[in-house]
This record gives sequence, C-alpha cells and structure tokens, in this order.
Amino acid sequence: MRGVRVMQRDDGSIAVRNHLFILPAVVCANQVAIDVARRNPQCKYIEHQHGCAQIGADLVQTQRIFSNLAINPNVFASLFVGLGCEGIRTTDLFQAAKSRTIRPIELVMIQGSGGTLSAQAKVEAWVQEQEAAMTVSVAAVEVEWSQLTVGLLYDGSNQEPAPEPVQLFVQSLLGRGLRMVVPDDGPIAGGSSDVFAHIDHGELATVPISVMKSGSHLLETATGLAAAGVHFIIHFARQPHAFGNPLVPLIRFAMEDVVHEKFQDDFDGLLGHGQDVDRALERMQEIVEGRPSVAEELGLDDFALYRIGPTV
Amino acid sequence: MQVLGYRRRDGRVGVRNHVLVLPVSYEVNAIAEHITRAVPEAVTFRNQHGLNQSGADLVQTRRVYEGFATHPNVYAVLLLAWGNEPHDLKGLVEQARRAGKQAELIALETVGGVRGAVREGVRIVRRWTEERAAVERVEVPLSSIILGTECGGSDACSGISGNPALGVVSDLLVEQGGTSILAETTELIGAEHLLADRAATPEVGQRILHIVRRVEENAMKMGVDIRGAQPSPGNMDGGITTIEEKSLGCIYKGGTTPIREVVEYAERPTEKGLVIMDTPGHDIEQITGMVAGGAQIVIFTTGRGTPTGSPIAPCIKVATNSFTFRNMRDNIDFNAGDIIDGEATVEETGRRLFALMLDVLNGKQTKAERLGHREFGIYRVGQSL
Repeated sequence: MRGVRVMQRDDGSIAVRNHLFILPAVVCANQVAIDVARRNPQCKYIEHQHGCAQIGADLVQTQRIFSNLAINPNVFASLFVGLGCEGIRTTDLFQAAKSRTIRPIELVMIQGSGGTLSAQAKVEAWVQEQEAAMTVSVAAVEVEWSQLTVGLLYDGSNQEPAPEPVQLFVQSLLGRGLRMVVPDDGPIAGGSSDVFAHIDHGELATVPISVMKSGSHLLETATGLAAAGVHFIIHFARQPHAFGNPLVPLIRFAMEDVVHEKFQDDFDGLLGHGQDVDRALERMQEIVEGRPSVAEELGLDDFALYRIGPTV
Repeated sequence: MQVLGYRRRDGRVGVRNHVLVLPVSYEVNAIAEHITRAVPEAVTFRNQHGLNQSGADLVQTRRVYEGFATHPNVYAVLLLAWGNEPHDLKGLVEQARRAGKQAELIALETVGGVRGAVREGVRIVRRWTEERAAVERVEVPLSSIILGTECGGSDACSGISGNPALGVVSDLLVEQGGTSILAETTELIGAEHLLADRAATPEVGQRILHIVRRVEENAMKMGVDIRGAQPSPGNMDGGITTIEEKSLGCIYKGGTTPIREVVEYAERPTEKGLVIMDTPGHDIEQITGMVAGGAQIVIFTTGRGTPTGSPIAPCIKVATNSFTFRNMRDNIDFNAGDIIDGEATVEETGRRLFALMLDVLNGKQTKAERLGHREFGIYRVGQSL
C-alpha cells in the first residue's frame, strides 16, 4: 500500500497543512484577529468569549487547549494576542507554548501596544515576516500513514453501533496504521489488541488510539481533537453541518443516501454502503494531500470551547 | 428631556437601526459570517451556544435570543438555524414581528445546504439594509432609555474617577425618568449590605443579598476561591488589592438613587430608576445580558483599557486615568482621568459624560462601533450536557 504525500518541517514534524495562526487568548482580543485575518485571508484565527473570569479546573483546561492549539502540527507559526489585564495571563500562556516547540511563537499585547489599531499593525508585520519564512521551511515527502493522527467525529449517541460502512472505513484506517483520537461519546473504537489510552479533553495524544473526553457538542469536540494534535478530522454525519476547524481539514461523509443526495454540496462523500468505502478512502487521501475539503472550500472555520465551570 | 430615536411598533425606543443576523446555534456561525461579509452594513456575532442545553440554562439562552431579536435597536432580524435546535424558532420570529420588526427564519436543513442558506440570507438582508432608511429618527423622551453600566479592567482609579462620574450619569438619567442597570454580581461581593440598605423595598434588599450569596456558592462548587479570578491579575497590577475594594468602587456606577428592582440575567426591568441585574463579572457576558434586557446603550469604564463592544448597542468607553486615555486612544471615547489629575470634579466630569451619552443616543458613533466590535457571550448557568 502506498504512503501519503505530506509536508515535513525543518524540525522533522509532519503536517498536512501549513498555517499561520492568530490566537486571541481573551475575548477582548478577538477584533484584532478578525480584522487582520480579513485583510490577510491566508491567516487562520479563532473568535471566542473566554480567557477572563474563569477559575479552577475550567481555567486550566482553557489554558491547555489554547497552548496545544498553538502547536498543532498543521501550524507553522502562532501568535497570541492578549489584552493585558486578562485572567488567563497571556504572557504565561505564550511562554509555556514557546517552551514546547521550536516553531515560531509570538506575542502581541493590546494595552502594551497602545490600542487595537497599533496591535493590528504589529500582528500584520509578523504575518508578512512569517509568510516569507513558512514556504521555505517545508519539504514535500511521502511517509507512512502511521505518521499521521486522525480525529473522529460522529453524529449520534454511543448507544447505537456505527453503520457497517463506517466500521469498515475505520478498520481500514487502523489497518493503515493511522493514529487515532476518538471522542468518548462516540461508538467507534479499535480492536482489543490495540493500544488505548484515555486522555482528557484537548490533551495531547501520544499513543496509537486515544479516547478523549468529548465536549458538550460537536464543535467543542472538534476543537478538543485539534488541541490533541490531530492532522485532520473525519466527521461521520447523519445531518448536514456548516462547521469546520481552522487548523485541521475536516472531512465530512454522509452516513445516509437521502441526506447525501439532498445536501451533496455539503459533504465530501458518502458512506452509505460497503462499496462506498474505497471511494471515501480515496477522497480522504486527496484531501490529506492538499485538495481542500468541502468545509475548507466553503470557509466554515469555527471554534467553540468546552467549559467545565461557571464564569465569575 | 428628549433625544432622537426610532420609535418601534411595540412602543419601545431604539437608538440604532440595525439589521441583525442572529445565529441561534454554533452550527450556523459560518453562514452568518458569509452573509455579513457580503452585506457589511448588517451585524452579527459568533455564537458558541444553542445546542445540548437544558433546564434553566436553556431558558436563559432563549431569553437572550428573545432580547436580541426584539431589541429596539434592531430594525430587522434574520434568524439562522441548523434545524435541530431545542427552541421554538417560529415563535421567536413571531415575537420579533409583533415587536414591529422585519423577521425571517432560514434553517440549513430546509434551505438545502450552506450555499443556499448564504444566497437566501444575502438576498433578504440586502433588501432590509435598503428598506431601513425609510425609518426616521423622531423625538423620544429620555425616560425611554435603559443604560447598561459596566466597569472592566478596573484599576485603583476606577472607584475614584470613572465609576463615580458614571454614577452622576445614572442619577441624571433616573431624574429624567430613565433606567440605569448596575450589574456584575461578583463585583458586588463585600458591598451588598450597602446596596441592600438602599433597596426601595425589603424584598428588593433580600434579593440583593440572595444573588450575591448565590454567586459565592457557585464559585465554591468549583472547589476554588473566587479570589483567583477576582480581582483579576490586571486589576491587581492596576493597584486593586481585594475583591471588597473592587466592589466598593464598582457600585459607584449606579449613582445614589434607591434600587427599585433586581432582575435575572437578560431579563427586562419592569421598573424605572436604578435596577440591579444578576450577571457575572465577565465584561462580555455582562454586556450581552444587559443589552438582551433592553439596554439601548452601554457606558463602560476601564482603568487598564479594554476595547470591547456589542453588536447592537453603542458602548462608550471611559478611561479612569489620563495615561490609559492617551495609551488606548484607538479605543477610548472619554477621559475621566481629569478627576485624578485634579482638573475637574466628579460632578463636572459626570455631566460632560452625560452630554456625550446624549450625542451617542442621537447617533454619534462610538469608537467600538467604528472599529466594528461585536463581542457576544451568554452566561451559562448549567453544565452543557
């Protein structure tokens, strides 16, 4: 079986996309990210309502997710935008992320810059600088599938078993040696001989199959998977959806013919019958190798954060 | 006293005439984003809620949607849905229409996919942005105005300059028969007895003590001290030492009049005068709650300098010290630092701020509006399931 064509970075890591990522660490910094990304559409960013007035385990989880997103394998360089008085302490977050990677990590503080517009100017200067560096630092290589990690999303509850084509598809991924992160509310898992580990929400996955604590809804779970370090996500869907993830391509297969037929434009393919499996695997390979998924093509980047404590 | 506003069919008064695209769950954020990029005169926000909620939490979220969809600053509202949200969305459209708004619902599942939803949304929203010009400002009494007061990124000056000046504005508005909302329950901790003494009735006094106790108990359920987040690291860098000190400065925003009512998060006050709303200290969840509760305008004092706003209500930023005013010039509308510098009294500064509020009510854009700020966040009272 042939391998997969991906990108290798200077530091040896493997990526299927090469992104610049602007990460507001607090809601007050959203607008800086939004405006810079509108002027520089090649930049990825998130928009959210968090980073202040959080306490305890909820704050710790948020810090973990932001920090892990900043070093997702598909990110070439990340920039944290902070305000200056936020509870999450963006400077600490930046230092922690920086100590975990040799890829470029930067920090811009709004109060320290003298306001939104001055902060935006700094971020844009960084974007231009990184753009020049990012293309020369990756090489096209063909590697074994086992070098990649996939995250799975599933419409429906873990009470019902996955339909047969989905099971065949997942077995085939495992057969290729793909590492896998599976949310703990989904029905899909490997065989008894596989090495499992249970990980917390958004915790880095380190073993072949990780069962991750899921979020309260699919978009939060997708965020958790990206933070766990997956290269791409496969979403087995019963319904049409309009979300993707900014950092990792989300590949969406319909599990039912009628849904696929009605919303063809919104899916990357169908997993309705056994004979669809090969076609779906082929489409997955094309997307991993660079073809935009439907969610990427439609610009469905989105973000939600799983909160486990009250705002104070 | 009169200002120029938009009189809506339900009798409420708006000071802006927005076309709002309201995504009722995260599933349709991207569609809202595409529509407002194609029609930048319309406003939207990113919603991370709306699914897998239940009980009181679901009711509260629904109250926020209702508050936005029927808000007097909104001329027309397009509700965007996935199709499986646990809300009566047709009912919400009806409520918006009864409030005199143009209102439509687009559901991804019935419109045939993302592209169709965007196309249909752009068509509707574009038409509304043209039609809204037909509605003109007319003279409306100041008594129809609800002011949301807020302090964020507080420093040692907040309780001496910005908040007392805002208190003067609250008093002047109440004198005119209007309403001022004091919120952020977390920042009433330690000052609740003073507020309870000012309650219009013993019941209101009891309610004040109740909501403060409730927020303390909720924080304790997390097994940590609320003081880990309040005062925030930024507050402490700004010279605030304890939550009590922050609270004593915070409550100045409400001025000196009796407290008429205590309302829940995003609930509309039924009384005029000074009203307390139970919200968290988090700036954005607080603004979202006050605006959903009918505030047409927000005045936000800041010591450290925070840039945020609301998608549908103008938000006036007040620096509590002259350094922050100069440093955050892009974001700050008004300097209350004159009080610290010894150049003006609280009363003078408050009256100047009141005059600026009148200008903004009459249509002058705030810096947050000009920069396109649209922060949104619902205060969640239950774990998502």
